[in-house]
Amino acid sequence: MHELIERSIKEASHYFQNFFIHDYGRPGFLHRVDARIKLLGTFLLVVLAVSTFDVTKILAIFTSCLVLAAFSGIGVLKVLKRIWLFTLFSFLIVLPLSISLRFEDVLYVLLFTLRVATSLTAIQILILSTPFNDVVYAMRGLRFPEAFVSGLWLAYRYIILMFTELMRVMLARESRRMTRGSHMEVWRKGGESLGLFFIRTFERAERVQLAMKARGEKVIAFKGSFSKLDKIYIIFMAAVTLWWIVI
Amino acid sequence: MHIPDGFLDLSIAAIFYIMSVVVVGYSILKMKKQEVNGALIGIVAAAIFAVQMLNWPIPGGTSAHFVGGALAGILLGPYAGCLAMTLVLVIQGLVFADGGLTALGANVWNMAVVNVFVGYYIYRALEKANKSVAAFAAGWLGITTAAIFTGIEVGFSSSFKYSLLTAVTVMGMWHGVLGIIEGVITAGVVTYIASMRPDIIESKAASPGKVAYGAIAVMIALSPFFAYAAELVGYSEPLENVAEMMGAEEHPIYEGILPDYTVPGLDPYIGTVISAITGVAIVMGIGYGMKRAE
Amino acid sequence: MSGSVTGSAINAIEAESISYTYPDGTTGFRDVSLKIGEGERVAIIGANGSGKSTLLMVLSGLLKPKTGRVRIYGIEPNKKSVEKIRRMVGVVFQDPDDFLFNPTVRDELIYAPLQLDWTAEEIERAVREYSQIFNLHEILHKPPFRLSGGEKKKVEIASVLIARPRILFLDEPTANIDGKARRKIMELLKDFDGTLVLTSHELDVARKLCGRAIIMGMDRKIVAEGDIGLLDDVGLLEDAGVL
Repeated sequence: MHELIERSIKEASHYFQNFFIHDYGRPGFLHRVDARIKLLGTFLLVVLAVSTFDVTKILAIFTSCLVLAAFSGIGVLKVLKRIWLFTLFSFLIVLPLSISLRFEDVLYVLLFTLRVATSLTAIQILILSTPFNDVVYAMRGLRFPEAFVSGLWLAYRYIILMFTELMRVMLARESRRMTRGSHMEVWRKGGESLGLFFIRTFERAERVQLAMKARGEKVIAFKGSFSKLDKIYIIFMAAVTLWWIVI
Repeated sequence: MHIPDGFLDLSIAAIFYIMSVVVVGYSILKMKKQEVNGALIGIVAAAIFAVQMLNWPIPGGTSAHFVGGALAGILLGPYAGCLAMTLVLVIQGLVFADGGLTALGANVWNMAVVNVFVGYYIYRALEKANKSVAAFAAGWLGITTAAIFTGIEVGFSSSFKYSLLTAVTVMGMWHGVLGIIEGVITAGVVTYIASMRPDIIESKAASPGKVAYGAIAVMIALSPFFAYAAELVGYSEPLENVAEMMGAEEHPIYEGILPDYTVPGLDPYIGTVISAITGVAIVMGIGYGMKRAE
Repeated sequence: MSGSVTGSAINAIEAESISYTYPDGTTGFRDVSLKIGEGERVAIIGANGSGKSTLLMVLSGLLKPKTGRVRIYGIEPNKKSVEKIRRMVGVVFQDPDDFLFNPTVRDELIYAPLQLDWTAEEIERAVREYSQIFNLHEILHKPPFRLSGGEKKKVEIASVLIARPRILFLDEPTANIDGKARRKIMELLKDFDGTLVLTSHELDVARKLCGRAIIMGMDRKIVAEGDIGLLDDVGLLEDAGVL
């Protein structure tokens, strides 16, 4: 289980950085745009990007996204660094389709990849400019069900704690292992450790429920009118959409 | 198994969004009615997220990840399990960009509905015979079915040029093998919990509402056909249709500075390029205006 | 209850400039170098959150340090050496609930012996011996989950010692335990004659069980180390946040 633990910790470090990206760096103007609008705007950008294979339209959206990244203080390079891996994967997946080397097929592969890259860019811009609690408030503001939204926040808030606890349980099991195990044994024993972990999870949930009862906690709805920044963002989105239609 | 944006036709993405919203929405109602511990679903979702981060070594040197949909169904019951998996998927999408936004409906269908309900049904069907085998089958078949649905969704999409057969075969076979690990781990978890805290699993057994189960089972079974139908309706660009209806393309009310997106008198390609640059410049101008406004 | 002492000249534990960073980016501890000889009994003292539990995990070979190297009896923990090291080292975790995962107390006791391929007689003898020493007769067939805090701790320590480790690591052995159980545990640990490394923020425990002290400060580095008498230096301990 030694490998399991080491690899998981390594990947976790990379993962958890995403929880803290908003603790560092200067917030740009996009941070202050209403999260509800950003959510809808991002969705719009993605829809525009993936509803067509017209090269000019896709380039229009991609460029708009890069403009957004550049002028909002997020930085084009930062975004590109975060999307290149998935973009590469998507490219490799469809690459075999260009084997005929016909123009249409090669163009397809390139456009497919560009569509993916554009969507990823739009999503990354949202992520980099919007802390998750704002996303959750926005969902509440957009009338998502209360149960769903508070569940979402609880889950997010407890992920790191749960992972730490999971690691402790697995470390304890690992400390008692004295024989080399086959893969099958690692999966089975690992599964048993997960069993212990889930039992403790249920117990913790009971404790948290009691605490929530005592404190009467509820996710507060997002209130607020539209500021000048929000209006500019909306205009930007409208302009991009119009451009997409006309181009 | 997360589908990114760009792999699915919007028509297919839309139909799976609708079906997912129906099932997840129903699950929320069920939870409210049964007064299930709200904290439980959130915290179990966090636990599943944590567990999904584990890198299980597999023969060959690489690692595989445990998804846990079948397990969620077994431990929480199908509705709460569906909800918990949905929460995980939303966080993965909006915090880690894992899985697309337009594809979220399909991803939720595959990993929060199909994986959970199929896993649950199989476990319940086989548990009387042998809990360990039942859990293994639930984990394994839950994942394989979810993978097949993923294959169906991208296979039907014309955006993704591989044929339906190719997509389904590749996804099915690959996860048919990986699913063995999911099965073994699920069996490990369930047998451990069954021996230590059987109450956790027993309580999810007799849930009312056979009609709902049946309906959802039918939805799952029929969803590939819905996907096919959506594809038949046509992969179209909705906004372009709107534009056409408004006559913006064919009969411009106002000729505009650059009619037919060419500069009159110039070779069409150069004209297109110039319009493109102009468009970009306008957009950038607005962008710059935003920056100045901060 | 002996850890078999062979009188070799290799140190039991050696650490060269090790540091550790948690997955979420925060520092566990930094810049630690130390040598612990065979048979030594060392207390790592520090306030809560000074990184001492993590230090224990790294010194015992369970966690890999971010920088630097750890050697246990001259062997560096890696994929190949891991089983060998686990057989020489025993770790008692702070929360017994993390550790006790078998159906009954008896199962906990025989968990390690079974892996070490002991014969049935050897196992029976050991179970009898340790039930006696730790007074576990009444609870041998109970599930560990249902025991009191003190009982859980005893079972945990018994399960580790039964495999006769040469080095015993304990993370806050007396946390949340008082009264008779606590006295009993202290007695048992006093009798252990292998190498002992424990963390604690309870000074009397450290003084009674150990001869050497390492003090971790709030900046996550070692601020002082030496004879256990160090723990009488109130000013030092206050600076480290222990008092």
